[in-house]
Amino acid sequence: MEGLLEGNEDAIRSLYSRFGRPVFSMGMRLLGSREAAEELTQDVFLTAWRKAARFDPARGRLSTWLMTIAHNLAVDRLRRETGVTRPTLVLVDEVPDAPCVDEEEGVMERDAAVRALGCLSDAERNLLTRAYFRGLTAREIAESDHIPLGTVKTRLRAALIKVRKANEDKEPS
Amino acid sequence: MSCTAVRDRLAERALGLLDASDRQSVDRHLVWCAACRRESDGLQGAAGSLAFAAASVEPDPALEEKVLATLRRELTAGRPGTPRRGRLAVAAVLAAMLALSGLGWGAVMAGRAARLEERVRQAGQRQIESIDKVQTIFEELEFADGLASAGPLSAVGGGIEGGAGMTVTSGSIRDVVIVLVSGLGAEGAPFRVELADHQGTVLDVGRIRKLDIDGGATLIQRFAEELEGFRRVVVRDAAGAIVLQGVLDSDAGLASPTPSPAPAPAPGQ
Repeated sequence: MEGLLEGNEDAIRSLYSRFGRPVFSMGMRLLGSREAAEELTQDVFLTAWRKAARFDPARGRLSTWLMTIAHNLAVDRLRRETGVTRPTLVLVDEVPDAPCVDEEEGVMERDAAVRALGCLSDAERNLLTRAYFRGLTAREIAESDHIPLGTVKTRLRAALIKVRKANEDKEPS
Repeated sequence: MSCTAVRDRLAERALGLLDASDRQSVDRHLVWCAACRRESDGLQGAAGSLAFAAASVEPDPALEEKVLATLRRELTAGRPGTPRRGRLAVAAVLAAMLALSGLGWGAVMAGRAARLEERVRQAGQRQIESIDKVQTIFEELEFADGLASAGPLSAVGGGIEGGAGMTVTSGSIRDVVIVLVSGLGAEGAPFRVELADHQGTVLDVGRIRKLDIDGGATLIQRFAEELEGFRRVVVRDAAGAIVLQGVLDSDAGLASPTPSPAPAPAPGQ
């Protein structure tokens, strides 16, 4: 991160090699086109550079921090573009993924994410997917499913806590 | 916004679903509330890990060069850079100061109040107002090269008085002094706040003329002078007697404040 902050090209390349692909993939899934995903990727690394000083490893992993930036930018864009067709989400367990031998960490992250989602019930997985990958607000989900807003909030929180627990369990002791 | 209201929104915040106004209110709370921040970090970590569940799509190899070109353009545009350590120190120190701004709870919970409920409300209001003021400065410093020094202020007589002081020195903005006090007796007002260097030069930071019902106040002052080296903060009462004093440390000395710890906030705060 020091290198990123100083604009060190090797540091930026290193960060891109680790996270360029997952960031671009998120852009594809949320925004639905390669052009939009490329713009998002550029915005994410620019934002990461601008905010590098705020990254605190004591509060979370670098991957989480960067992907949170990516997600927030993507959702913001999704909401700005009124009338946008929300793309259909494809999760890794539904699509054969090309092996990526030079991104071992990325593979581990994906495995962990799939494992965590596997700990959820179908209803919980569906709920998180609609919220996180399609940017549907709790209110939109409540109206769509004809259930109280408070129930949606409670279920979202419970599902995230399950994911957190699953992530903690896979961490080496 | 209370802890209850914030926690009601943390899952939505982690999933990026809050509108800008709600998010700003929640983020403001998270700056000073360590318990909610821990909860938020956990949920944010869980949400962030979901990102990797999307099927991987290979970007165009040329994208890497586009990303680098974008950053090069920014670098050559001369956007002000900031030493990481300095910026992190500012963030850490401000968070610690905001936590200390809750020292008023000490007096509230000590049961000195005739009308406890009203004092709780006022102390909470004071805390929010202090946070708003410091938050404004914090946002300005995010883009400045500020280097912070901070430290707790201790009561000379061993009473319930307490506080915190901080200076931020910068080459691009006017230097800032922030002093938070709590538990002072109104009979000692007005209080004079001084900042001194090791050579004995004393700067008059300002007067605290009015205390809230909990004996607290926030003093924020900007200086045209360079404040580097001014580390000793003294608060004197109207008679000139020192009631609070402390030494500011450039290594974020507020991480472990020495005054007696404030009791946990009441539920809902």
